[in-house]
Amino acid sequence: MDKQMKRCPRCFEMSFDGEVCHKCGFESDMTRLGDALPYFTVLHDRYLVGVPLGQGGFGITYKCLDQKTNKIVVVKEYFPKFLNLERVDLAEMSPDAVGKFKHGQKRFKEEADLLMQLSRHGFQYIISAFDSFDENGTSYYVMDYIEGISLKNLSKQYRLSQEDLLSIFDKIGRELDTIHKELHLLHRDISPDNILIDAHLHPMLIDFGAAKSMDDENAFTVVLKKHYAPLEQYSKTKKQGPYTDVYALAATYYYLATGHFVLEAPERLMNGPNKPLDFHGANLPDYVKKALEKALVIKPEQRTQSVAEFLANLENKAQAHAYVRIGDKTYKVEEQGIRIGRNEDNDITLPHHQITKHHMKITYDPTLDVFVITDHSTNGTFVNGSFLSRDTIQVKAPVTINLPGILEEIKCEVEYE
Amino acid sequence: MDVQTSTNLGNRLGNEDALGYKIIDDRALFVLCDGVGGESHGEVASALVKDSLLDDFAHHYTKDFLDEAILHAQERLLEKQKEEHENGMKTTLTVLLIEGHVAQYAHVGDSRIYHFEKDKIVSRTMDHSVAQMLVLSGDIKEKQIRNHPDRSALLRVMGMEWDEPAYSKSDRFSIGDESAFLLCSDGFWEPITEKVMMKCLKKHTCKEWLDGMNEAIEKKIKKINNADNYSAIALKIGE
Repeated sequence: MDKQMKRCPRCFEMSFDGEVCHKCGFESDMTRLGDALPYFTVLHDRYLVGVPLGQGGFGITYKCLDQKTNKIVVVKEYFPKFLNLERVDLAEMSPDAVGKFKHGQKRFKEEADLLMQLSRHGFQYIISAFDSFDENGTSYYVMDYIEGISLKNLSKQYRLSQEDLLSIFDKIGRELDTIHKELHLLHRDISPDNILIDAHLHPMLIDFGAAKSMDDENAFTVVLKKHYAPLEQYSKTKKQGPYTDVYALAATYYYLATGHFVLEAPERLMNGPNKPLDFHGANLPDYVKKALEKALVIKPEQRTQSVAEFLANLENKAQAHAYVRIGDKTYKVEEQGIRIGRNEDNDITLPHHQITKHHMKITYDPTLDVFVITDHSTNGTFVNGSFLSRDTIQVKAPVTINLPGILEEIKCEVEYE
Repeated sequence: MDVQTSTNLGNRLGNEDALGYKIIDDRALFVLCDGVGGESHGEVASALVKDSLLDDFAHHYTKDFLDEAILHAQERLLEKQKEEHENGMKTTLTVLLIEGHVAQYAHVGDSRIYHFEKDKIVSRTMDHSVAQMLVLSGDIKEKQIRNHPDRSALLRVMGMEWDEPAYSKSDRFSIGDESAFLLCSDGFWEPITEKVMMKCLKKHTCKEWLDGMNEAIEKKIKKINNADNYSAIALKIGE
């Protein structure tokens, strides 16, 4: 007699006979998680809960069927492990536990908001959330399901080719750069575990803005991926920026290209921060090595500052364009440079009595990546706060110039294509 | 050899510092550990590591004692974590080994070993902490380590999985009658300065030295709510 086929909680086909799924091989005893919602719970009147995919410090992730679109999705549930809850019932928790629960829930919802924000931009290579809601006394958000493998796991079996690596990093990198520049958000946890690849080699960057663990267990040791985190992530007092993600991206590339980890940042600091990287015999073009070296510089101020710049270096396309900006006007620095003075034959004319007729000149040397600033004036020029008088100086971008009697600052910047 | 130990709760409910020493013929071992991990797991970790080292010193003394004993203690601590399902059970470690007139020390974490000659500091161990790292990177000055916001963030401890041995070991060096050492937890070195340590040491016995420092600490921590446990082993070679 044929067993009546039920819905499989893993592939959601009607091919589960109660013990085994005839389509995907799921067995009813697999993936049992004590705290997880039972199979086929319906969330938000829409999402049919299937197998749990994992449990982290902050919550449980489920594979679900979106009954509205009939697509498979991932639902993340806020369920903090450190509180040892059965199922969320705030009435039964101590005030201290309720406080901790709500604090973590706030962070969870911030994470959800961030991911929802990403979804409005239509990114193809960055995972985002398209729905979020509260239910069962806790919070949830919903993402697309990706049938794929992390680069970490993939690299255990295969060394990806330069071409494949570049393709993956270019796709993810460009969208990441947009997120940095337009949304002013940082990922902060880029690593080979957080890049997934599907069967079509379509890459996805996941865990954007993921909240880290909150429990006491790790209050004393720093929580981060030690082979990918730059120095500034170790301290509460140091600023992070796009260059933080640049470091992690480069460390990830390095690992996938050479099979070795970059030494932890504090270790590199102790061994000598300017020690050149060891590429372990990997057959990488010189410009790739240079790109990685520059992106893995320990001191954040001296490191490659943007993902766009990193990609340009990685692809050997680095075209540097130098600009001089004053007020709302921008001047591109060509070979002949930019001349500034009181006379009208200058590129920038400043009719002030303290400015000399041909006060100063700015040129850009692309081979050394420096601005060359020459002062010819009576009253001098301030370059990054230092006084320059009848002399020439070479300075790396960004440069701020102040001229006597002039309120507006002159800014010299370099941009990469 | 003149040795004194002291340990105090500060404002905490439990003491997670563990310290001890053993003298057998012409060799001696001094161990001080400061447990981390909250909920009294630190207590278990520091005691376990301290006992393991002193035990090995008494019964399994070998040529490469420090390396073997530390790795052994690390193994045992990781095992204990698995038994109790408590990953949080971790501890710092400071250990000083003396064989005749030769000394060597090792440490993991931010408990310190100070070496004095003729009542002046010769060296101290470099903390495995974020604050110390910031000094190395030029972000802060040495004197800003005390009271820095990253003060309790440790980079290495016993009980954390190591890719390779995470302890720092000094070279072996000669000692004489003018040599002195101080092993102490961060609750001890944070409230007082090296100047105070040297002042208390000058021309005093170990007991007087330790008493003097404890007095200075008590004065300082009176104004704080959550003062940490503070412990130290003070040792003078010639006495």
